[in-house]
Amino acid sequence: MGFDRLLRWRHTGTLRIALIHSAAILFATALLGGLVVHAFHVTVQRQVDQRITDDARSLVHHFRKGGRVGLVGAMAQRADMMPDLLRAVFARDGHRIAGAAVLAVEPPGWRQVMLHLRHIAPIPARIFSVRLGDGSTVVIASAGDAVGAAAAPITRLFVFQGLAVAMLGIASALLLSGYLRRRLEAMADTARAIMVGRLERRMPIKGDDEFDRLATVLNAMLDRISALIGNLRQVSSDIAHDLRTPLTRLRVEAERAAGEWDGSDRGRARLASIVAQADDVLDLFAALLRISEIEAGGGRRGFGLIDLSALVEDMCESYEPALRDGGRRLDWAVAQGVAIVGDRQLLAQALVNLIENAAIHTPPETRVFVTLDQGEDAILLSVRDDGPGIPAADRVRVLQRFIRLDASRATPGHGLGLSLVAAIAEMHRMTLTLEDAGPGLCAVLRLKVEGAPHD
Amino acid sequence: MKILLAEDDATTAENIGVGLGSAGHYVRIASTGRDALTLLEAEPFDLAVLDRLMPDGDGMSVLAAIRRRDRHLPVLMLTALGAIEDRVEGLEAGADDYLVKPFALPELTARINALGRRWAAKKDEDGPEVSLGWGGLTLDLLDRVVRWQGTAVPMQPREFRLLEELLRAQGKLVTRTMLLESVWKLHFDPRTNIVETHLSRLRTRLTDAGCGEAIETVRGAGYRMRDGV
Repeated sequence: MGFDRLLRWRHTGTLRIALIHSAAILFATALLGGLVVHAFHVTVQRQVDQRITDDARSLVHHFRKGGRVGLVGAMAQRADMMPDLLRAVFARDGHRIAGAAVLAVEPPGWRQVMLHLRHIAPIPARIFSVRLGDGSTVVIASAGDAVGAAAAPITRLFVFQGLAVAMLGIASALLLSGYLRRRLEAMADTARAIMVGRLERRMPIKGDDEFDRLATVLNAMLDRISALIGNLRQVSSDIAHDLRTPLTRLRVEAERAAGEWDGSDRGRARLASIVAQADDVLDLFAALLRISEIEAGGGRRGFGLIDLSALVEDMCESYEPALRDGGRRLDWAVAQGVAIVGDRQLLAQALVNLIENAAIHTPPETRVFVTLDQGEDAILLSVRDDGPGIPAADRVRVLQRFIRLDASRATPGHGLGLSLVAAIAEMHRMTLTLEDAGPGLCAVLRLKVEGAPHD
Repeated sequence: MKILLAEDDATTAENIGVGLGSAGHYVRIASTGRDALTLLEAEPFDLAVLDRLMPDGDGMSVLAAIRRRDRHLPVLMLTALGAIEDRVEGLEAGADDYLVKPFALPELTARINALGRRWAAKKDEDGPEVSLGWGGLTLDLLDRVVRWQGTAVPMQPREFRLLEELLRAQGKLVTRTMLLESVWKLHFDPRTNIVETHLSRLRTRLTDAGCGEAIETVRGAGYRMRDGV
């Protein structure tokens, strides 16, 4: 899981920050290590060179005092005392007079050469040559990578430290990002709950760190928003109540007047029309209130486990004769045993609205097809017709309130049917999409199936 | 029936009162929840109609008070909210029926009749009904069979339920919304008149069986069994 998280590191800001931080520490360690090893190198090199030049100076001294014999004697003595240095002396014509067989005559000064010994791989050597008074040459060599060998433990130390820093860095990056993710995820969960209408939810507060202070501010903001929404809802419900009461009175009065009417039939028809129009306005009010209420996320009290298959079949059976009387056909294919948590009334209303839309906004002979499918990751409820359909550009627009397309101006309605379906879908965490059924329209309600569909 | 009507709006209360009076009921009006409770203390009632929202507390608290005193008094709640939760809340709190304002008077009277009938049936305690009858029509509730003068009339389950509701009303009005609620379990009014389409099929079956026009349409309100079938 940690590895997965590493692969997705680009998508988690906290992990990225922690990893970059670890990389910086690692880089600093490497730089420091490099500098130390380099300084060590220089120092050890200088010491080796010093020994070689001391040795050369001493041999030259012996040559001056005791000539070639004194020189060879001193060389033999020193080979015993300081065996890590190789020495040889060559005559003017280049043949070896005495000393180590692997060395060859070299021009005066410092040289870096490879020594080729029998049976083993070539060895690097640092060589110093001195021309003596009689034209012969003394060659002194320090074989092997003495400097590298001395620096190796320090290099290893720094490599181990680098590895340790990298591992600690990755571990702390994972822990840190996990911690931050948990804190942020808790806030995101709350925000998601609020989005689906649980307005009473607040951000979790655990102590007094930066997150808690942010949560406190967010909670204060949510309190304020809740208060405003509460006010708004109170006002709307007051308006609804205050307007509906006189409207109801008007309607009842008109109904009574029609009942007691002793005049012409036309007068009675007028009164009946007043009743009908009052009903229309009241229906509009009811529909608007219902949508607002559903959008506010209320009404979850009506939620329970429902047999969606039975509900869909029931509605289809109930609507089939009505559509047949209107010259259309209704067929359905319903997967059995599909159960979801929801409000039976609202889901029935959503389905009814979709079926009625398919029946009202299409010409006779239209075929309407209702399907309910239980897929692996989603439950799909669709109402498809082979009518004229809705142009692609209008498909999102028709979900808004009061939007009626020109094609449906002549049919009765307030343009609230689909927005009600959209609100019901939202409340049930379903998505409503209008698709091209080629020809016709296909309205699809899709419910993603997860471990726990509702909290 | 003697009905208590608790409704704060005087005009609405008067209209309902007149309507119920002309339907043969005796109505006492209370304009606040406290008045309603005082009246209930003082006089016996057969049924109470409570407005959900009243100036001094809502109908819910009156309902709670009623249920503490008399568990069997049929109560019908009225609401202007038309809210989904209100209906659930009201029924959970012990209301027997629920009507959203605005409503047509015949709707209220029909529901009051149905409540009164159910209450009377409960008081008789004859045990569950096994059959219903209307003239030559009998409905066997156990075998789910309809007979016209002894001969079985073939019927879809939903048509059977429709006829059952109409027979239970014994010639009284049964409204479209009452049928939607009892037969379809739908608490909203769809635009398409599905009750009418299913009822016309029920009518055809009864006519084909020789029963004639047994069901009468009350325009704009609902249906009832015709006398003399």
